[in-house]
Amino acid sequence: MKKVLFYVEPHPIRNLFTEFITPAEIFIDAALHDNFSGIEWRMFSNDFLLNLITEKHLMRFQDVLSTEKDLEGRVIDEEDEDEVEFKLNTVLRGFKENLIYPEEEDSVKIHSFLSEWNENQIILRNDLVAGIGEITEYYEQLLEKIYQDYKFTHVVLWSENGAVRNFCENFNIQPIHMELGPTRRPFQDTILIDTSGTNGNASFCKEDISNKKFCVASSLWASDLFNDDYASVHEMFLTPAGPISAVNAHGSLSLLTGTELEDDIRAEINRQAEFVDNYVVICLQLADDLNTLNHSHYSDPKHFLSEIIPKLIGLGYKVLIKRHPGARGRIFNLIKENEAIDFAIKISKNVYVLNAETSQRDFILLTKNAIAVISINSSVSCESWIVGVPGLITGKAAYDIKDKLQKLTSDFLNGGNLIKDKKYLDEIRDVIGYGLNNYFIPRSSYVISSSLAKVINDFDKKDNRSFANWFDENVDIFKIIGDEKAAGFDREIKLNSKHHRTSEINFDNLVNFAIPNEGFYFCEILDFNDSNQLTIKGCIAISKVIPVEVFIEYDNDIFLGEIIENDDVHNGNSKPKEEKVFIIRACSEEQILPLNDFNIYIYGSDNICRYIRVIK
Amino acid sequence: MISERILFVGHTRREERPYMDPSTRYRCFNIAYSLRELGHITEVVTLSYFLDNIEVANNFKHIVFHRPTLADDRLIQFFEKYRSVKNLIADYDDLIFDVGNILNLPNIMARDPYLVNVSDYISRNAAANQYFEKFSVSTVPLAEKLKSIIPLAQVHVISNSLTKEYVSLSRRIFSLNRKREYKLGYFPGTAIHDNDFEGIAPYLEVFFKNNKNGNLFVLGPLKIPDSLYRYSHRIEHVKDVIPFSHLPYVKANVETILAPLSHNEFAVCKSGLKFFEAMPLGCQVIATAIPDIDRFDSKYLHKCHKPEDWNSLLELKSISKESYEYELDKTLSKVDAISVAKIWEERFL
Repeated sequence: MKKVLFYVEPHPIRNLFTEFITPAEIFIDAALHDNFSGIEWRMFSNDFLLNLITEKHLMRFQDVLSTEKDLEGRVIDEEDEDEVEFKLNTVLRGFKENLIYPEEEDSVKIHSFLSEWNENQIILRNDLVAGIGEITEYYEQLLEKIYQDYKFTHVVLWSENGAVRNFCENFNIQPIHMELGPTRRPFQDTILIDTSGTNGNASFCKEDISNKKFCVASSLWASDLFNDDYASVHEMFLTPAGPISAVNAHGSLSLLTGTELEDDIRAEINRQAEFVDNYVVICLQLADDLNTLNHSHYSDPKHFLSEIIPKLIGLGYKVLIKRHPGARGRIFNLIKENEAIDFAIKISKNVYVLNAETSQRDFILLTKNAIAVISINSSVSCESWIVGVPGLITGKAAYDIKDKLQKLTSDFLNGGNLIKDKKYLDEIRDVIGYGLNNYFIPRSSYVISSSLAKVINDFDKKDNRSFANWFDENVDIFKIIGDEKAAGFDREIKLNSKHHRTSEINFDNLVNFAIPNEGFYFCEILDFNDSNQLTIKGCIAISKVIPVEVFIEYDNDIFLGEIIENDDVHNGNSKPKEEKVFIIRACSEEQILPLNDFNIYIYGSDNICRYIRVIK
Repeated sequence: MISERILFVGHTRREERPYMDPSTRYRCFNIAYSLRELGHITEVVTLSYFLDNIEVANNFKHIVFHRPTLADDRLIQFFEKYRSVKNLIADYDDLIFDVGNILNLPNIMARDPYLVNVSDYISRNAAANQYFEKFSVSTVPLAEKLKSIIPLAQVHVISNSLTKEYVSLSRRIFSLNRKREYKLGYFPGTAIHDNDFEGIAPYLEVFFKNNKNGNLFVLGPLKIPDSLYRYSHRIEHVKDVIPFSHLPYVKANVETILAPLSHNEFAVCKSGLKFFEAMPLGCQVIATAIPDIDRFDSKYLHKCHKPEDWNSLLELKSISKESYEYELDKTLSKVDAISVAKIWEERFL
């Protein structure tokens, strides 16, 4: 049996012990899914994170219980509360068995690493990622300790970690890296799974896709065809953009963007807001982001802007800078971002900085008329290809095969014409399309659990193929989505039909094994007519057991009755309300012979079929 | 062709997400996207957004009003002011402007016994037409109908169309070669198809009787005819309409999709969407041969010109996978979004 250790970064990052809670939730969703059955798993992290994930899990389980009750229309009483508590305790015990807490002395040690998040701490964290230094040695030894008690075959981790890499090499264990993919909401969210690494280390970057085929147009990832519970890019893209707030060297202003407007329209717009065209959008990433620090040559956002803005301004473009939405909540990053912005704004009056609260919709509308979108290696540069705008990168990204995109970026920043080379642009679009079809997977627990289980069970590192190649040949994303939709729809059908499906009932069996009613249901025939077509109307008083199906058998055929929820058949004021009225009709092209005596079968919610003999 | 600025004004109650209204999606978003791909600048707004922000019109030379209706003074004022300045186009995908035909509307007496609401609605649409010289309509019969009412109208048929992502996803789902759980499927999107379905109930009865394994999946509001009740255990009926995003996967679980329509003037004007949405998923379709269905010729399509033709339910054979691509190309030659947008470009710019 395969044994997995989900290694959730225990080291304090950005002054927090729980910075990796989202990856932990993604791992837990996958591990608890039916698709993961047959694989043993444990999760290791620091005690804060493990306690938080436990609490989140229990809260979710509580929600499931109350949803189930709502669906059943049950009122929670005291007895239920005891039952709920019992269930929660059982779930808690089961869940905790999968968690590996650090021993007390290790907890103390991990806690001692908490120190103000600054350049020094970032260097230490980068040493950990690179697999050097004392901290790396400490976490390696911690992994060895875990391994003594739990002989895992795979380690699943978020992004990259040198201690895990060193340990896996020494003990011949398979690491599996996961990371957010290059499309995020309101695009279809994606996830990356790779045994080689993430970003520039992902196996996809080295693929040769010249002979590969892919089928589905990338624009699908901008639409609602996977999921429609959020407004997709397709919906936003064609809506009109209003003026948005920004600042430039002259202070705050409203701006509207567009292309090639006629003079009178431009003049009209300039009355309401500053009109900006011929522009490039720059998206900032976090100063301490591992993806930018380890996969580009920039030390911080200011370094990045100082390199590219003078070139863009020199080429005659206007520049719109988008801040990173996560910087405001992370003080180190906010300071670094402000430094970069203060610097950039002084370069030219043609540098505009968008308000930090700019909505996703406004941002998407802003990019649609841009000459290009540039980032170090952010997902926005991938997403913009999907809506038809070149997304450029100055660092290494998982979606850039053989640095083609970096080459385009460099050419563009130096005034080259490669950005007008349709063939070259099409090749990049093909890379993005191929990646979305065959490598980056939609972010749903069904797809993630199924794909991850496949990698754990079947990927063999001795395989000569690259991981990306193996994944393409062994994991069919669309088949899994099809399975997921089918399972979801099946569930909906079951809920729709109140927990049973008529089509799944074997009526012949019910007839063969039916037992006499013997007063179990109180049933009354209200109307009987077999003169032309057979019609039987009746009612059944409801006890604890609810009639699910009422039917008769005639000439080896089953005639199902229609059970009517609302009493619209008879005006029976004298009848109690808690009853089901049914009508059985047998209208066929064939002559229905008059019935003298027959059985009415009642199949109840207790899964027992009872019959009542009716003598005319 | 030079880049033009084109605005689509969709008529839908779904203010927040007009894209979720199928009619607005097909008539506004799909065309606007494809025109954008052809190099034009396009936007889509709802009618009420347009009325509240009428200055948005300043940015556009061409404005398409989908199902225009004179329900607001501001629209009348706009038409009065701009009818000779802007290139205004009215778009219809249903026969909803023929006042003389109101009494023939299906189920009209049940829906509006004193003809108060329907008369008002249709007459406001008809009145809007006086401000337009150019019309785009979804089918040939709808064009003919419009011409008969407004002989001087410049009417062009702009078919409903399929976007490349819908087609490529369908093709991919088809390639999975999954087992189909249901022999037949019926997908009424709204609650007005009871009569259409009842018309084919006798044929379905025979189908169920002669095919012990025959089953039917119904998705959407529908009164299952009494005569079929005895086969309830072979009919899976989900009454709620599901999101558009699920439909390709659900339809791909069905071998043959039924598209019956009662014979009347309104049905004749309808689109053949039921066929061309289903064919890329490898579903066969049995459909009442309204003209927009009749223009297709495909192994995947079984046209019913008269009621007895529905007996073809019993004669369906599976289609060899080899002919799929050929049949798909043939279908797309008539309804591919880019080709349809090119027709739009030629006719209206």
